[in-house]
Amino acid sequence: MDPSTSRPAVVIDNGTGYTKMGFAGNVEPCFIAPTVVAVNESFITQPNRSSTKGSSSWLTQHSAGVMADLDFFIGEEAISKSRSSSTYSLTYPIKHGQVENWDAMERFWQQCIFNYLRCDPEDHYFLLTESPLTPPESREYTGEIMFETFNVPGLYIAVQPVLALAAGYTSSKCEMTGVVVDVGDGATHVVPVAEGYVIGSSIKSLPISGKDVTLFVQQLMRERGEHVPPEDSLEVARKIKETYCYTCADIVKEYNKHDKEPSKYVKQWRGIKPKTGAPYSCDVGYERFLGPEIFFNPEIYDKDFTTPLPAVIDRCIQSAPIDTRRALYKNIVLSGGSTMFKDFQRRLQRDTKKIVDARVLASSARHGSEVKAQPVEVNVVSHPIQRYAVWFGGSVLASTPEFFTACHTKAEYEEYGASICRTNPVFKGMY
Amino acid sequence: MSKNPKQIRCLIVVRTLSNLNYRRSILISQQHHRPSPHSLRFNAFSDLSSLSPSNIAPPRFIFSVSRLSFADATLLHFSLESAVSVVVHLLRCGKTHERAHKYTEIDDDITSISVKIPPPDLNKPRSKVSSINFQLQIYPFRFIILIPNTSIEKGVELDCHWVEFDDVRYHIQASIKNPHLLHLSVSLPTPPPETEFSGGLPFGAIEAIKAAYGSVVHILDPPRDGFNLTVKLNLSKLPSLEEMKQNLLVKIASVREVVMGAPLRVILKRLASRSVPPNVGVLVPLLHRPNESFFIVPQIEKVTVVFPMRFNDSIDTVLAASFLQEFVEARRTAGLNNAPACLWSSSPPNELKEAPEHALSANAGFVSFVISTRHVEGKKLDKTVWSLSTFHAYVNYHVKCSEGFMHTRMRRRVESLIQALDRAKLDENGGASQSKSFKRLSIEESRGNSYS
Repeated sequence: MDPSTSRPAVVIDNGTGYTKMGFAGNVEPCFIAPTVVAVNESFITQPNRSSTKGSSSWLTQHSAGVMADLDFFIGEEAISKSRSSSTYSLTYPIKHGQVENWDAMERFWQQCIFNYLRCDPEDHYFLLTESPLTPPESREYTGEIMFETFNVPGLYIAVQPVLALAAGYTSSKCEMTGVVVDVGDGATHVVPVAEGYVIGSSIKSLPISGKDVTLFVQQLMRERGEHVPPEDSLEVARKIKETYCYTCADIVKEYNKHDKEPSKYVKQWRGIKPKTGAPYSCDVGYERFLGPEIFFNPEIYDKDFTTPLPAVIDRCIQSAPIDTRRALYKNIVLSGGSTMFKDFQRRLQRDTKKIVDARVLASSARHGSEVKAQPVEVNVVSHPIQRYAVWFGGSVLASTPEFFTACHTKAEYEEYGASICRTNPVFKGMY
Repeated sequence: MSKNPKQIRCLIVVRTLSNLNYRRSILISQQHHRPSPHSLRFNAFSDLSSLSPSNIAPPRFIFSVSRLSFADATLLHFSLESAVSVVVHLLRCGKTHERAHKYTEIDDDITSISVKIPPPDLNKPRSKVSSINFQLQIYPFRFIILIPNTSIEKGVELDCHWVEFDDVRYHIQASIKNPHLLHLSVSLPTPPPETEFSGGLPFGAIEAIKAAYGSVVHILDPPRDGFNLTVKLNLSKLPSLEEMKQNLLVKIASVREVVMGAPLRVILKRLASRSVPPNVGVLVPLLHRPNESFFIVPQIEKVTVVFPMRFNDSIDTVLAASFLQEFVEARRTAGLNNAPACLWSSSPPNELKEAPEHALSANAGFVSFVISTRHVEGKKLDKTVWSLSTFHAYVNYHVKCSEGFMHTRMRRRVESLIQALDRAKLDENGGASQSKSFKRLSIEESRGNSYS
């Protein structure tokens, strides 16, 4: 028997904003690090600066260039490095849920495995995740990197929403039918899953994601004229979003509440200017509830896109096969860091229920009193582990014995090539 | 360009509000014999005023150079008026290389800034390996370092399994009830038959643990099922001083080094104290990886360490072999005179004459290091033991990095080839028709053709 099947599999969930990584069987990911790589490109991008200085500098440049190639950091380290010196430039390998820069991605995995998880990739099976809209080519690339560079013994690329559903596996019943509302940093998807299979034709995407909340908070603060140093304002907006934002039941009432009791609702943010070290402070006011509000009233943020999230969910379920719809309404699962706002689940459930009830009422009015429709149950589920639900689902699945049989192995890769990674079977553990 | 290695040429560019750039280059001496602090003050642009347009006065720009001690960095203090930004390009003049550093400061409400120029590090020229060492070291188990910082305050419920390279397994357990207690179990790789093991642990491990951690760690006997060692960490006994606390946490995070490197540490300690080892010239096999060992030959004044290197993948083997040869080559460069002597050979070296047969099959050759007294003095001992016991992971890391680097280049090449192909494509209209040697028929035309 392959000894690596006795070791826990490595589960890495690469999100646009944060990467969650750890070993299967654990409850929490070991590390949650920003998906960012700081690369020293000073010698690659400015080759002409010192080229006039003769052959000795060519040698220096060459060896420095080779070194610069190994000279990279990921995660928090990358951010602090790029701040402290101008030689490092930040690269975000994933944009809108899709890997854009494979060089950076390969380096990112490199550091994840060797520096964070500190394991030998040849010893472990790997479970990676992808967004439901990933093209098969990108899956092939992933497989290529994993098998060629890291020599992993086995690889499974799971679809994120399926894993998010599987995160509910620990509860008494295992439901593999539901709608996953995945609001990440870079992409928002509403994905219906029936019995572990993604209904691809009904996937709906929103152009509004966690990053937009950050941008909106930043914009609001800038318009009000808060004294935040410009080079820091995005970071501050992100932290404010993560600490202070919440979902309100009604905007107008919330405005009134803020105006009546500013001492209770308006928070203070204190920071230090990165360049001079001087402390500063600013107020955090309406953006606390206006930030998450862009999911429910997108018109306040974006002129072009005006469909609120509950309406998108409703549309998504209405486009799914009719026999699955009731089950889908019953199990709307939240996942992703940007669903962590307080009361987000209650607001979403209330608004979705409103739409559904209106439709049921209209149809019963049309049919008169002879047909009595059964009320549709709308249920938005929130996990305590919502922030890394996808990772947790992966951890649960990768610790079942069926996982190892569903993986693509290195032997298969060598026999058939990267095309085996195009499909990843739904295995028994999933439902 | 000056050949004096202790001088730095600075090019200072000041941009003013009226969008004019003023440049001035100065030579700063970093000689060690000058009394410190030494400083000079002058109006930097007084001699450049002729270059600026006559109606705009040059910015008043005064700076001083000061140095606190010769080991310290040189500080440039600027005080300036009506400047938007100051960029200092630093050209270090050395025998073989000059590097340009760039410092930028942009802020409009600041009238004085300081730029720190690092001291000349010409004593240790940057050779390839030394900077690889710096960039890509194998870090200790940083997860453990993270836990106490959070758990002491709030307490966490934790039950975590972890597998590290070389098949070292950990199990960490903490509960909210006793936030100060942390159970850490370690399981070691399967030892090869030739190594000396007592009670599931390498020789001298228990003593090493007690010596390294003191009262913070309590060894539980027997260990948990399936593990070689279980310890109870009492976090309330951590030193209160932040620096010492971090040091101890890093030490706890390097528990594999303490346990697995215990026999190695004993031998190197003897070397450091220059006592004659009882087993001069006798081959000592030590646990390295599952069913693999590395070998030590203690001698008077030096210790030879031999690693048989094995890799599973054929590409990895080739890369590792060439990396190790490069490693030996880099040792010969001038900057690394003090590093341990390093040898690589594809066949087992003489020291391994007495080694068992199965230990001599290494597909990426044998690396030997000769550790002498100066490598194990004082604090260097810890570093040496850590580097030696994580050597395989270190090489593996670099092999994977090289592969990644090659893939990057291959991708770039493919992109350029695709671009070349795209350039060769003919335009839809214009120019294309002349070079066409055949006429492609549309469906209707071809049908017409066949009918006629």
